[in-house]
Amino acid sequence: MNRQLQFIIGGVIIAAILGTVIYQTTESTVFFYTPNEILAAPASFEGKEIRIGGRVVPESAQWNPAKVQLSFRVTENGRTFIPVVFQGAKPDMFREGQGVVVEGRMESGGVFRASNLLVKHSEEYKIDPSKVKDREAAYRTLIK
Amino acid sequence: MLPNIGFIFLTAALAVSIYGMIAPHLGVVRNNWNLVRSAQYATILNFVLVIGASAVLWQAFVSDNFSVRFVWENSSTDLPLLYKITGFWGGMDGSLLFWELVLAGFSTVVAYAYQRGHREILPYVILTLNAIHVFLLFLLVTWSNPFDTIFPIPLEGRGLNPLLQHPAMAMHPPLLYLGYIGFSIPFAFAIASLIRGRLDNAWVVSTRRWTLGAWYALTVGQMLGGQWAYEELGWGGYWGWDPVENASLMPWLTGTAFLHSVILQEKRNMMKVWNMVLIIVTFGLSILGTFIVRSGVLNSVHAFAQSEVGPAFLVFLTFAMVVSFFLLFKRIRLLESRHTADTLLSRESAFLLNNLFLIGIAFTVFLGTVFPLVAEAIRGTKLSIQAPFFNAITAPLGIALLFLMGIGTLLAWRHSSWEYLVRNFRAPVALALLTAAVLFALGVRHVWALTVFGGAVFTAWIVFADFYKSARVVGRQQQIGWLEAIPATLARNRQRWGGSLIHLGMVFLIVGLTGNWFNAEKNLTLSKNQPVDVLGYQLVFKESRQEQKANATLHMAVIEVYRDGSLVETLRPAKSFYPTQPDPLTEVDIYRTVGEDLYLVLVSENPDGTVTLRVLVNPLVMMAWFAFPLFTLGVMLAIFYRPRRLESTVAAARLGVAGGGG
Repeated sequence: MNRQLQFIIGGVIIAAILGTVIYQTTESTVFFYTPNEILAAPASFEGKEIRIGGRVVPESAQWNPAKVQLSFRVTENGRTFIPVVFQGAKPDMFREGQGVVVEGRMESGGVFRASNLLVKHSEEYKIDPSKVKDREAAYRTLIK
Repeated sequence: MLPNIGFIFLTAALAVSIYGMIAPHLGVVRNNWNLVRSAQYATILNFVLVIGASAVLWQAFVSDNFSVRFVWENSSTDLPLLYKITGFWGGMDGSLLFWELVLAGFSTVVAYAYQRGHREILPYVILTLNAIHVFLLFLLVTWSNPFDTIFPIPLEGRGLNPLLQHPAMAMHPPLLYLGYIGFSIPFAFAIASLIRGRLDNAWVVSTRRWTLGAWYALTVGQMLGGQWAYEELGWGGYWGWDPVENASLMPWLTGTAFLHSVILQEKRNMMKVWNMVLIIVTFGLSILGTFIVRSGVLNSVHAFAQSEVGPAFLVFLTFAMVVSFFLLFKRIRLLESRHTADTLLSRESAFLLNNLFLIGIAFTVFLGTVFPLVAEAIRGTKLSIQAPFFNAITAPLGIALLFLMGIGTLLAWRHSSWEYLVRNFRAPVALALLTAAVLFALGVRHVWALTVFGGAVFTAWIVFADFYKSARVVGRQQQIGWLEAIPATLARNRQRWGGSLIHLGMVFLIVGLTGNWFNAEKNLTLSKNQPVDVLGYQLVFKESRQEQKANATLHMAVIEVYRDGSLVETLRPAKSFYPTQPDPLTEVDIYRTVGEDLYLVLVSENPDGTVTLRVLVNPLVMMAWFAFPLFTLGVMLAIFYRPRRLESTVAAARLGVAGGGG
């Protein structure tokens, strides 16, 4: 009797955990796309929470300190791009021409509104100091 | 020259551990104890050789010997001495050597401390530990050689990643390794018991201290990791369900479950198979954790090293799991438990539920960590699992565990009566409801948070009342007041009260985590000397300043913080420039109070003389740190507890009474 009850309680708890896990797997999963995949069918991505991974188009970044807003374009092939507006602080390692992952939603105007910005630093993100003469000055040019 | 000696030490150590893996088995088969003894010597010799190798590596770090690739990668001349020393585990090769060093030390202790009373299984404990040595040393002399040299010799090193130049980060990796390695001792005992078919409770009882110590190291290691992330990464939190964080959380969860369920085996002779499963899984998860951290398979801020070592770990993990479960399967008939939980309303049930909840969380974390990996491997889709996935399970089960800590304290072994429970639950339940009601009246509307705060008071009250009652009984026996009787009470059942202290720490930790539901954040741009009200504080930007700090140049904004019209603190959030790094690093500054943290991040210094800040208010963070001293005291108390062997229960009980007065 008691043993049965134990198994029933245990079973219900396990079922509840599994149920929640399965439900959340569909609910909290964010898929990752490249700009070209999105540009092939922009309308189908509207309003969905997604991640886009691409490179920042050189000379496309604008940092607006007053609004704390960073806008730039991400590209895969260097020709077509998606405009991104990121509401938040500019990461230290953000630079044009570099790989980024943005997370957010496509808006109807074709602008990607990002709530999260991850900067992909390359494997060798440490520079070789022996090649730089005036280090401090070199670093300054990097941050603007 | 010297680096080559380090490599020779490692090669010799590998040979010695291969011997240490074979000799104990031969000794047992041929009934030649001298062979077993020679394996004990091999363990010491291995330890000495690995100490030698480590000394060589440390010497290379301290003397800036950049002909060693690993030193070149992780150090530079401008680095403070502390970080030259801790640069040892700043990368993978050194981490593995550090792991081997600690394991070799532990193995030596085990080989000699358990000579008496463990003659039958000790040879196989040594064998199992040496198998792990062989794996690590093999990696160290092949793909992961820390003594690999480069030519021409660079004049300057590449520097330790400045993110890692933080006191908490100096301690975080070694503590995690201590935890992982600590769990490999009960694992080795479990495997040895399975091999020998000696399946009494000896392996559980005699490795209890290792389990506790490992649990403590893993706990503190993770707390320091959280503190490091909070102070150094500058995104405003301490836990992000990052794969690497999950990697260390999983063995912690199964290890915590193990820590509890071995008590059932020790006291009630239950859960014998389950405990085997738990320790095997915990060991496996430690290896998996290292695989995740070091292989770079998951996109993560931590995944800095990609190498052939990843697959090697996966092969070893598979091998260890297959062998362990095969042994377990072979011996499963010997592991039948004679007892089960007698009734639903018993402490046994509380332990079973504890295990169910912890494993539920561990399973969820495992799935959330591994699923993206599997999905990419099989379907080619890249996806990421978000925090809500983890929170959906962790929050309710965490809250259930919070209440369970209180309820379990009140339940008796075997059977509790409803009347007793109702009588004892009345006060804590009333207090919990009162707490929730008061907080509700004060404006807290978050239902889950109210449940946590109520539960915290509920459990804390029960734990205190439980101790108070015992202290009063002891006081009455010795005719002293209950306050004076505290030391005697503690001495009587160190394991129990150690556990209570840890549970109390857990209450604080959970309350601290709850603060995350109330975090507030705002980005704003400040002009000089113009006060701005934000999130209950008034901030005034006074000036920008540059300062030299150790090997870094800091560009800081000086911000005065006012609360209710008076100056409470001057904060200096900054960006720091390291000589060997291309990018500046964010240096946050925090004004901490018991209630909440004001957390400032310098986003940018703008050309027009203004500064842009991210302002975060994180409530209750300090509460989580309060857990640390309680964990420490609790573990220290419990570790000095000597578990009585089941066969000498009577003698131990007599000793317990005699020792009770002191």
